[in-house]
Amino acid sequence: MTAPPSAASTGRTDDSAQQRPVLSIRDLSITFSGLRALDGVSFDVPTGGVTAVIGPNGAGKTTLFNCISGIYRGEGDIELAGESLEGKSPHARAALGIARTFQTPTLIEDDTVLANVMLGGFSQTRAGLLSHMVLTLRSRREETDLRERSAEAMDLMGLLPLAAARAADLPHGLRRRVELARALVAQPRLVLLDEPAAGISHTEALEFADLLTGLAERSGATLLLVEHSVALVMRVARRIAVLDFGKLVVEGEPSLVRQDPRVLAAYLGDEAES
Amino acid sequence: MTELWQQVLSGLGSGFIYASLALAICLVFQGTGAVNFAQGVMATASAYLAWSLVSNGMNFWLALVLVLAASFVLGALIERVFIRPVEGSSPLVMLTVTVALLIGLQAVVALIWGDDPQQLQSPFGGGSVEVFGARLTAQQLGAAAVVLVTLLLAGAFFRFTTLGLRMRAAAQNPASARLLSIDVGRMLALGWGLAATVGAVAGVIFAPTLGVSPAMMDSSLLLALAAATLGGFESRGGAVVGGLVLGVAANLASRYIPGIGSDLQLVVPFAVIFLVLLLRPQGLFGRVSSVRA
Repeated sequence: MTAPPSAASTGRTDDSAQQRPVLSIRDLSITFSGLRALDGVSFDVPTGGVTAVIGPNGAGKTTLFNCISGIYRGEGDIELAGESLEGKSPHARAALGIARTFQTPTLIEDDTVLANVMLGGFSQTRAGLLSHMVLTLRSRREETDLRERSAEAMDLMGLLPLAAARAADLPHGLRRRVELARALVAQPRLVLLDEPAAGISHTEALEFADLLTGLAERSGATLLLVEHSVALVMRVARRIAVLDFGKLVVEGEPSLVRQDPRVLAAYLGDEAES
Repeated sequence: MTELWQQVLSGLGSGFIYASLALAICLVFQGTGAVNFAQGVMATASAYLAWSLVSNGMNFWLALVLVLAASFVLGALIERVFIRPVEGSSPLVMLTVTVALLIGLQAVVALIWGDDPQQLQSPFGGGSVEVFGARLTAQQLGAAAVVLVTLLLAGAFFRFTTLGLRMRAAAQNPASARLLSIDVGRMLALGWGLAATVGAVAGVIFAPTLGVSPAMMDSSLLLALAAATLGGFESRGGAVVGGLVLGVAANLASRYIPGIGSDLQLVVPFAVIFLVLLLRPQGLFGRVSSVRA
């Protein structure tokens, strides 16, 4: 899999890229009918690897994702690799390199796995609408290229043998992989994963965790995930941000987060002690 | 037996009109969730435009190409101007807008071209062909062939091109399509444009049979709505099959069911809509869908 432009050109060995966070959230707040869903949240997501956001139900995790991907417009600022996302539409943010998966995978049911994965790559195509309508050489070349990139993404997710399968026929765990492969085709800088372990068994979740770790290393994309499964988070995340009632409780390495008394009280409880 | 065969074939011929309009209605419904009651009158406007060009000396086929391009632009424009502002509104709002479009466009057509019926010459000549014992006019056969090719092209476009894939994604789940960097607004306008083009093919190619008048597509629209209900609004192929079935059924009913006759042919679509909604509301090829509260 080719790495995304920023990470690819600078690589992991480049110190300046290592130091510059892929995502900076500054003083982010949003209110729904008087309820402050996010309240002055600030933290950085370092470039590369997996960062996790955890917190109890209603802590504001999915709201945070919706603000990053542009579905909600909050107050404060969000920067992607130093570039402010203010005023940018969801589709402009996707084009800048933010890909996303959902709690419930949203696939085109009647289509093949390949077609679903290809859908992720259109932010990279340059041929115009007219060019696609009359099938010019350029649009066909781009399509061939897109098919190749889709095959690579499916390979990364172990989906190549299922390329021709219908999305509707796949079990939940595989649907998640299709969605993730679709996100990767765009060669994103940042992939937002909304509860990737929801609805799959504990064993599957641990397998998925290993897949994510490998993915972060091989794809060059930074993964930011919201997750309930503490086991999965502790296994994959390089850094963890903990939210509670819309506020950032603590942010840091897993070992630090595990021992923070506020986190123990707010969320981890017995799970962290065991 | 020969007469039955004759009735089936000529029913199939009219079925192609309903199939094209039904497909156009489905394309719009899948994209914007609106049942476009103006689909018929949009095809009427295309037929009038073709009549204007041909009666000014233009070759029929050149006129058809120009009219298709103009219809595409008109369809996309209608989406931009009238539908986009109410996108995502309740079905009742959509219904009001498309019925208003129907009345408004009908008035515009009458203002520009008047109420008098006009005649468009058939591009296929006045001959007839015998098909396994039944006699079909060259116009019937030619029009069916042109529409069949259009339907196959439309199907191939949706199934096999990446643009068709993006349009399906935008129609099925606009929110997640936006996050995949798909320009949903543009895809919906494209869908309306294509629907108008498919409808225009039927309107222009069948104009020599139907006669060009402001109400030329009225009964076809009813049969097309019944066809889309029968096939399922979610299924493009189902709508086409529904149109062909309805064409044959309406023709057979008017010939063989005592008391129906050609005047009461429109009983058939109403009966079909009623029965389908009662027995299988999602249509023969549709899927049951639910909306999360």
